[in-house]
Amino acid sequence: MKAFIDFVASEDCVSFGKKLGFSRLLFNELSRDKISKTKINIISPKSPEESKRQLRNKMIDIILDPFDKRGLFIDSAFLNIAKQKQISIGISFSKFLRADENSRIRLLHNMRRLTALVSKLKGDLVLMSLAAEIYEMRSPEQLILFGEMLGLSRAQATWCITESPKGIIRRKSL
Amino acid sequence: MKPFPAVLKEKKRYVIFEIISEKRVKEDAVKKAFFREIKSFIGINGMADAAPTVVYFDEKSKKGVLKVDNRALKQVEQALSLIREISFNKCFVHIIKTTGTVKKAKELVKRGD
Repeated sequence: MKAFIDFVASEDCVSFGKKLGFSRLLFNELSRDKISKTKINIISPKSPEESKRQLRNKMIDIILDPFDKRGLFIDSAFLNIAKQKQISIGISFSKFLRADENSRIRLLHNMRRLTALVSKLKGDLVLMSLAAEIYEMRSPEQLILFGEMLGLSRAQATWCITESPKGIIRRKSL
Repeated sequence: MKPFPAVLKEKKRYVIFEIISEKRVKEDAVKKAFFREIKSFIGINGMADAAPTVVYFDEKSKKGVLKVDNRALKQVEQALSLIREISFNKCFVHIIKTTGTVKKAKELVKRGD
């Protein structure tokens, strides 16, 4: 049986996630001030400059949703450096869920482009729910469906919620 | 009436789902929310192919069965995972299993699996 791993933004979700079928849930706060050696550091950049700056930071493990309404913050050079530095690219389901109908169109477009680029350059992609409450949580099967919605194959989407996070945990020796 | 040959028959799947919410939800509200979200996600053209119908819903256990065309199953499941609220109650739809017959689906819901 596969060990599904998810990242959540609230401690309440940790126990509930196990009922949904996750074997491990990691609680992470998205804060620029709380970067530490002992935990997985996820950063969500607000501009292309910030995402480039964060790439130089050795402590960062996941760069989350590097895009805004206008487009992606990253290019192939960025992805190659991220690959060398073992920094993963993250996509959060909660961002898509919270968006209204019209914003979802643009968001889905950017997420699909990001997924295609990362897959093409063989980068490390992590899918996460990043739920702030239990109603934003989804089962592993539903996260795989979300991956398929973004253009990944079933095997690739499964890899993004099993082996990719496992690799980060191993690197951080948590 | 002579039945259609197997090749011409519609191939349906029955999705067993559970609504996880604080408050009780009514069947009508579930049907409306499903219809709205699926329509918003796959559009009128997709809805015509998928033909989603809630065939059974138990308000007590909040579990039900959704009938959907085989070809549009994945899209409908994706649409269901995007539901955030039903009649102003925060909730989410947990897909338990997909079966090929309504009999088995209803049996699983009533048994509580």
